[in-house]
Amino acid sequence: MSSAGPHFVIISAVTGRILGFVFATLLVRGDALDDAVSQWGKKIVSHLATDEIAHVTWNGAVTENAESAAYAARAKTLLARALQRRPRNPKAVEIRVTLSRNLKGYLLIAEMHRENENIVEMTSFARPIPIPETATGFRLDRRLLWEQEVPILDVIVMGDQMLVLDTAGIVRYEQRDSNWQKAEAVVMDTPPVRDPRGRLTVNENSLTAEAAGVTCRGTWKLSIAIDCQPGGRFTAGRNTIEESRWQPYFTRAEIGGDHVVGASDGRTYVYDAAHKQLSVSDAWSDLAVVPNSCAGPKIIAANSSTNSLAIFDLLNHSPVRVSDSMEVPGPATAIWPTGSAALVVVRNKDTNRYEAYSVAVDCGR
Amino acid sequence: MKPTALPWIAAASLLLAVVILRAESRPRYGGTLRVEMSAALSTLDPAEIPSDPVALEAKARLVPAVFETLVRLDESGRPQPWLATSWTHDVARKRWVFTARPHVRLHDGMIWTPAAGSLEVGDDRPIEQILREMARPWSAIVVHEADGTLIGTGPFRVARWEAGKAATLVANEGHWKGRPYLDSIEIQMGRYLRDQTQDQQLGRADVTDAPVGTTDGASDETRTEQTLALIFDTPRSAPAMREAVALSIDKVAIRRVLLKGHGDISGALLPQWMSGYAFLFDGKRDVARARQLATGSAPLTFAYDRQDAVLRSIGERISVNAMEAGIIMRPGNGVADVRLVMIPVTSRDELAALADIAVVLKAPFSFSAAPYEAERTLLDGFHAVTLFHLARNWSLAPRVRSWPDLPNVWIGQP
Repeated sequence: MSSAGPHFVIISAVTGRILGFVFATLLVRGDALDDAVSQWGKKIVSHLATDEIAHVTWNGAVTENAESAAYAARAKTLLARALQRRPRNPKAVEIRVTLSRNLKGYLLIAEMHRENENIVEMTSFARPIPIPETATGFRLDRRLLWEQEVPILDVIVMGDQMLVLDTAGIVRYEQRDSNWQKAEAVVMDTPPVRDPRGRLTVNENSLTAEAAGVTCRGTWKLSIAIDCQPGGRFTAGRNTIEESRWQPYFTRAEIGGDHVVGASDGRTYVYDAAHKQLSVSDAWSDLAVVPNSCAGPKIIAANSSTNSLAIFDLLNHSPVRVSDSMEVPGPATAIWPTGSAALVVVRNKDTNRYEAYSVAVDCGR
Repeated sequence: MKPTALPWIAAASLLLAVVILRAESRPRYGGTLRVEMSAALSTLDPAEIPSDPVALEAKARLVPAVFETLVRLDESGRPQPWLATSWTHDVARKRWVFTARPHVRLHDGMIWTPAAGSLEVGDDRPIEQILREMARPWSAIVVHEADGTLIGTGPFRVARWEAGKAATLVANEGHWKGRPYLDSIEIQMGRYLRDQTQDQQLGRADVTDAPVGTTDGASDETRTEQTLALIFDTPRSAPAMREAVALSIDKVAIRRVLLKGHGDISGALLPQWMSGYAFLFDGKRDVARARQLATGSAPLTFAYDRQDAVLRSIGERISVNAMEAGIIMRPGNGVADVRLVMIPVTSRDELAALADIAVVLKAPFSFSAAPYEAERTLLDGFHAVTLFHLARNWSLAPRVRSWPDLPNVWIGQP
């Protein structure tokens, strides 16, 4: 078992990154682990007579990854310290220790067998929230704009101002000292919906915020002032867009004269200009068409079953993937076109927070 | 294994595989989900906790769709706000005050407003324990109408209830988290497994029970689990005899042959991935020791589900194993000395799950104990002998998405 901290040997960049994460995690969690082992050590000692010393055997079966191995190494040192005693003519008592995991975190379990009795002492400490790896080398280029716990519906960044539409309303942030500081928040009273969607549109000083069953219009510079009315683009309670000559849909975009429609039945249809259906696919959960300076407009689409994004083109009116997939840390809950890029909102499965990314097509030049 | 189980297992595996391999898209609203189940529930009243494990599992799944609790447990078993948005001490620090979520409507359209706008609980035990107890479906908020009907705040309301036979749940359009995707759920209860399988194959049901041990389930975050165990109900069996039965069972062979390698052998009530300490409960076979303990023991009557071919085969194998140790276990009708049952793991919190298991075992339970101590107390005396942890399986029609999370289930393309 490796020991933690400066004794790590950096074998490669990848190993270094993993070990660096583990070390950082240990620093973050060090106090919790120290406290847990200290209390646990006292409980174990309480089962020892004054002339007894603990002979600890570690069961390494559960230390199956770098994180748990590092915790075990740290716990081993701490436990040895907690059990240290120097009686005369000591008698050794066998103690079997296991680092185990459960849904909530880690368990340290000590087993002692004494006079037909099995004594078990255990302590627990929480598992840290893993930090997602940064994806590199994809033809999709993503940049994190904002993250928060409340579901994000749309984000617009204009210089040193940022507007965030979420399920509670609109929040305006100002950039100060390279940080986004909350300037004001306006509550929007929207009917509840299980799969919330919304869209922000800004033109000079005018602002339109659309959510399921409600549309708010007003101004935003200096301070947000909006007036909300029932109705609008997104159907109340169902979230679809209803437009004449189209079946209810979630999203519709035009590319090369064809219409790509994410329909309410969950499928993606391609129609020609005369609304004739040309193809249908099941691959995407959401999409946006973004312009591209090098190769014409492209489709950025999300696949929720693999939590990934990719660039698609239409070939003979059918979608064809033209990039590697870019993994994202959870399902995409919204994709909207924003100028030359797409705004992609992802619910991070590890942190349960919503993350808004600006995702652009990188031509690879 | 009897040949009759094979088509069921094959069909269930195929249907499950189809569901797993499909690419998901944005959820779709509308449609009716047709569910058939073996359980026969007399009432959906959360206050009545069934001791029958099959009914307990079904009720623990259905109650949260209709009645909601102040807090809920997340995927890791940690309490999260639900009908209560926050909780804090009162000024005297003698009570916990739970703030009610605003704009929550009951199924009759009235706003749910607890007296004084908040709910209070005495601070007589740790808050973790209070939250854990509150998160159980049996602690849900229920309003008793004058005519005896029960209404809640959940994403579905009960439109029809025929005790033990059938029910219809319809979407609560005014649910505070938004209406569920489904328009309604038609439930048929008390259905034989073979009838469920037939209805599934004929396209008359979307969700049916599947035989045990047909898959290993999903990841730790989404899996639902059950524990196959023997329960000794009558006082005719002495502790030594119960231990002898436990020591006689060849779990390795049963898993390899009858369960086709599915499930995990265990001596614990909760699975290792959930508790982290299950390995402490040793369940190894020792026929010689079993023979010593069983000397002079009287025959036992033994009950198990003969409809489920896998359970029947396991029951028969246990009887053979017990015979090797000198214990006679005869198939029994009515009240048997020992039952082979599938105990549901109803919660992702260890103590909440063990509390429901205690109901099945008809054993006392205290939330104040640590999980390991509570589990050890339940297993002391061998009133329950754990055999395997198995994934809870259903057969799903290819159009069903997001099962078993009822509020978020939706009907997709077949």
